Amino acid sequence: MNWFNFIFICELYIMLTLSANIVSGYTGLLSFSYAAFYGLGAYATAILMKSAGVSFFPAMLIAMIFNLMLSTVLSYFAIRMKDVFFTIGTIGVQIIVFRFFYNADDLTGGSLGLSEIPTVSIFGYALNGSRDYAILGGVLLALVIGFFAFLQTTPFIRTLSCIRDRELGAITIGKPINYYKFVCNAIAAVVCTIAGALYATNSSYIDPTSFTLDESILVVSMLLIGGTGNLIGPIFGAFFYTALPELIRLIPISSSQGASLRLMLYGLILILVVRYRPNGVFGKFRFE
Amino acid sequence: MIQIFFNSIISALMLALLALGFNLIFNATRVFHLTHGAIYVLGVFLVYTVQPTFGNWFAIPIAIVISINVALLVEYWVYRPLAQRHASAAISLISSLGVYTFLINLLAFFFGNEGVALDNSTQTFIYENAYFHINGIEAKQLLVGGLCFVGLTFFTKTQWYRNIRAISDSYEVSEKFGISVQQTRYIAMAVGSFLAIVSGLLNGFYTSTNPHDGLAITLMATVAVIVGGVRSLSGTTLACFVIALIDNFSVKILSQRWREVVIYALLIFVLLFFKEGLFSSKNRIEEQ
Repeated sequence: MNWFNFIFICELYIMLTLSANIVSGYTGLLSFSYAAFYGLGAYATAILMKSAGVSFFPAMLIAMIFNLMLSTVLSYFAIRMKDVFFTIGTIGVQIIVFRFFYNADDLTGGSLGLSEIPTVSIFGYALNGSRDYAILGGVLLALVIGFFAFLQTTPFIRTLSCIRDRELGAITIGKPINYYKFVCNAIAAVVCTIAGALYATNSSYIDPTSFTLDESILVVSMLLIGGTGNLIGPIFGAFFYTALPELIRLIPISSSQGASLRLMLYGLILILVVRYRPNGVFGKFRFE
Repeated sequence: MIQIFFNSIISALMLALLALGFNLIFNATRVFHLTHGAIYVLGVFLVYTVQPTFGNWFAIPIAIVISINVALLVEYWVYRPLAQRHASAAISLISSLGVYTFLINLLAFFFGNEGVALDNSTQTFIYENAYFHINGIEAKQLLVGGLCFVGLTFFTKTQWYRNIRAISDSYEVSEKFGISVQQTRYIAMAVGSFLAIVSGLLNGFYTSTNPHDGLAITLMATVAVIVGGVRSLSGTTLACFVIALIDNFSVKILSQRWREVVIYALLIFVLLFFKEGLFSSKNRIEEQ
């Protein structure tokens, strides 16, 4: 087993789950479009690096701009739609974006995907092997965690919790809730872009099946199991869910059955957590 | 042209059965019941298992009974405790997704991810002219679907259906008027699941079904329910016809690959601008 690859995947999911934490955990907007952001980040970075010859960090920044545009759409939904209808709207966005990846052959390569994505080079040093990527991912993850840890000390995050617990109360004390919803979606979009860009350059091949609705459901499950409203919960959830397939690999069954068994366990854990431990393992707030 | 129209009617009928079942369950339990998609395919796989030994006439009732019991078990073990805890719509949506993931991957574990076909006989046309043809299975779909509609029309005249309407307004008030909320929820679950299984089986005799087919069609049914207005059965039926027409014509004009995009774009449009659905009557202002 490749430990560095495992660590790298773990880092990606921790980023995704942290961005889910700020939208769904703090603000209480249950969204299922994280895989859309993740995919858009991956595809935009990959296309810019491959076709336009842009290097990694500028490509990632441009991808962030695309993702911010998509997040504006979602913020508009969050303002116009109420709870479960917002969720259905985000599922719609997720499926439309997935279909775009799948069908726009000229741009994204369709179901065949994009291959031969260039590797990252930093100051002339080209990364190779999963160890280098794990280190790069670790540095970016540390930045992301540092940013969220800083955010925890600000009144901003308390206002988000206020919007989740009582939206009317937030309006009453004069908070511009539309602005807050926009900002929290934007932060999530930016963090998802980092994860997507790393994923695309590490695997050097992407296809639409990595960015399906199931992926979004997986991210939300990670968040629920770890618990919402703090930093340790999402990190634990992402780690737990990435480690589970490695354990299942020890059971002697075929790989497709193993995949089914893994998803079965995910579903079962999700039901059990919602039923018996709605706060998740480390959660500060009950997600409802 | 006539052929497209006719195909639309049949696919609308199949979609309407699923959507009406979803509508009944959604009104009674207030759960966004995505497990409906799992029940939809479960019937097909049960028939597929029992059919070789016992034949269709025994397999189909068995499949219907077992699937309904699975749905009731989900209601008993997952949704009922959530309702007792007054959980929000978002959290019940998540646990519904958990159940869906579990059941689908249980099926995938035993049957694999490939589709199964219930009927391998050649589809001969029983009526054919220059503009229009119909084969045996389509005729059966029309017949059985029509019968279900007649049955449902009678069902809407019963006390049971009136109870469902009552508890969809308010659990507390219905309980004070002597309606057993839990019993009504079970009834809605059973009737709704029955409709889903019939739709699934009719579709399963027509084309092959794989375990993951359920979610897409259920989301399409939810589109129909929302477009038609959550409270009205006739609105849902009408919306199914509109969606099937749009679906078939978009396949004709654009291509098969963009049909999901068209449907979900319609969903988002309705969610943004016609929250009460296209066909439903306005609520009184003080109810909003």
